[in-house]
Amino acid sequence: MREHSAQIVAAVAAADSGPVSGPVSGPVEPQPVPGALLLDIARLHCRRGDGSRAYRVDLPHLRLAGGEVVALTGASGSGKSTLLEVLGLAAPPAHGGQFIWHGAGGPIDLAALWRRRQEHRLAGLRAAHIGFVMQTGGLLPFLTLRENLLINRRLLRMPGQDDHMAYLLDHLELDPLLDALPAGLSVGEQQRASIGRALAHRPALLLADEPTSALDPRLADRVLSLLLDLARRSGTAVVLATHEHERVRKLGLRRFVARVAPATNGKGPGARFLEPAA
Amino acid sequence: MTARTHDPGARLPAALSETWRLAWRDLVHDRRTVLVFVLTVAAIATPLLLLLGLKNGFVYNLRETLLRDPRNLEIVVFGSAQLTRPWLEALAARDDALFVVPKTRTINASVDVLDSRRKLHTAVEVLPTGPGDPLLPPGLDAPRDPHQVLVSSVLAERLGLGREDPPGRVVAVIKRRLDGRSEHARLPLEVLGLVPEQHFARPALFAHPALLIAAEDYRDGLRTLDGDRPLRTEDADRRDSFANARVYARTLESVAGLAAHMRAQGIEVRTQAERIASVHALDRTLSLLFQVLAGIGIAGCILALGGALWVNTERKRRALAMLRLFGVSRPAVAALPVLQAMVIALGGLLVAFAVFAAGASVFNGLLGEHLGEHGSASRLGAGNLLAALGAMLLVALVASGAAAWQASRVAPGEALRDL
Repeated sequence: MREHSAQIVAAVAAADSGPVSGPVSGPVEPQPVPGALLLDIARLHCRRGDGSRAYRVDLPHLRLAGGEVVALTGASGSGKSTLLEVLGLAAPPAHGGQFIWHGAGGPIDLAALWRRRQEHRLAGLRAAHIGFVMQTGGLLPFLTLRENLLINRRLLRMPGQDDHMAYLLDHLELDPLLDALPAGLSVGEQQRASIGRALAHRPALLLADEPTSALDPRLADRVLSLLLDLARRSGTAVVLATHEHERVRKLGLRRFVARVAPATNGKGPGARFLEPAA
Repeated sequence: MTARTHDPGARLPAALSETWRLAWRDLVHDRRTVLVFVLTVAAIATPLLLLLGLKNGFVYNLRETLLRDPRNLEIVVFGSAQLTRPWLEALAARDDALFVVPKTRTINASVDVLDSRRKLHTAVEVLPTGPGDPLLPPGLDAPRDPHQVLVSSVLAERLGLGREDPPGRVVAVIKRRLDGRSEHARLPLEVLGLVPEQHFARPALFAHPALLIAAEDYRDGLRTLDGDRPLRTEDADRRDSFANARVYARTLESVAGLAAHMRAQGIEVRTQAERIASVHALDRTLSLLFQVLAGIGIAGCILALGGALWVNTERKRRALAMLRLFGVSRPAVAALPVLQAMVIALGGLLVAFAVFAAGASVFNGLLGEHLGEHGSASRLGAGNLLAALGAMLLVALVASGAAAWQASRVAPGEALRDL
């Protein structure tokens, strides 16, 4: 298993000499570093809902390297989105467990930031280093496509144009659509725009929640490979949540599979995401 | 880690302008809903503005009617008093006093007048006057010399004085009985101008106080009057005590205070207090009525706008969650409905102002003909407009409170949850 991920990292490192790594205009910004440790997680517990609807989601172990791609697979409702929320610093983990950021500015004890309710710092880390691709509707309806694509960059006060943006727009074929509002786009175009938006600020980590399940299968293949390809060229690590075991297996991605446990005496229902033995 | 630090609260102006931009773009995108909100606010604000304008106009016209007649400002000294020159000077120096001039005893405040046709007009009233006399029309200067007078136009007609400038000359005849003998003195007077009937409706002369004092002294046997030797103002300056005075307050509001001041000094005075007080009472009653209606209107506006903003925030929950996910701070997201409420309230107020202006011109057209040259049925001052603006912004602030609280509770994770 370790060997497998090391191979992917090596491939990512090799591919990173593409057009993206050229000189970038604007402020000096740290590039995602392929291969270096990005997230170190052990015994991470998440909780969804309260009372009788409470649901546990556990991630016993995940060491994620820069540029690495990991899939979380499981049936709908198994807790993939809950886990993504916590990985994306959008929701707090339950107490206990290790959750450490080793990317730019790290190491940062994320679990401690949550305990101390340092929402501003978490929001700052989220804005600067994490990109999100939602299942659908990952665009703000009141902004044009161009403004949606640049919103993360605007919030970070990064320039509106550079080689990276040009590369993204070119490969996502979004140029002719830039002045349209999201409502005027097809679902496929919206998903491509969401990917562009999520990668625009060159985050170290991209979290994608069923990014292709709203698309028809042929389009889904194309959009997913585009996502992985662009993330690889940006040096961005990806955590992909999907119910499509087969597609993930075909792509040969490192994966964590949900083991759903029903409620037992004294313990509510929940799921553990484990990496199957090779 | 240099450029890529993102602290949402670090640079407030930049964060505020970004929040403003998002709020504005959302409003533009949602313009039809926003238009409904704006019209809702306008529908509540317009009748309130019209009501306030009509109340102001009504009270203003009543006050104008009172003010147009300076007698409403007059404080009449009743009977005879002992008014010293320093006391009168101190009274004139008061902020609430508009005009003070000493008067002789009432019995000495008239003379006979000989017109150019040598016809005698007996017992013509003589009023002391001076610069700033509210009975004189603007542009007509008070006499500076004891031999100069102004003539009320009612008297001018009887004297056969024309409207030419200067209107002419008359002779005052002052009679006295001294040591059992009847005597009279003749004083030639130059008529400087006419006091129109709407300013003074009785036959009267307006003269320098020195003329009246000289006449009184002559009747009291204290001096002689020789028609060939001109009167001098210095003769009058020696007089230190007067039986009466013409006293006018600066405003309708200051009449009562000035009268009370004089009463406190033991001087019996009369004013038009009742007429003034009734206008003030009406003003207070109408103001209270307006305040009650405005209160109800404002409360309704807060509820209507607040409810609409609440529903709107709930509808936009996912977009707000996405903004939080992208790192927009909690206060900034909470500020979105507040900024939007301000824009809606200002828009509503602008529409209300426009409709008010149209409505006011209709009212003025319908009612204005009864109101004289300066009258208008409806009027709002700059103070009223500023107050309306302030009240509207306050309404927006309060109305958006619930929506802001709701927006602040949107969790960034909601953007990732299934639709």
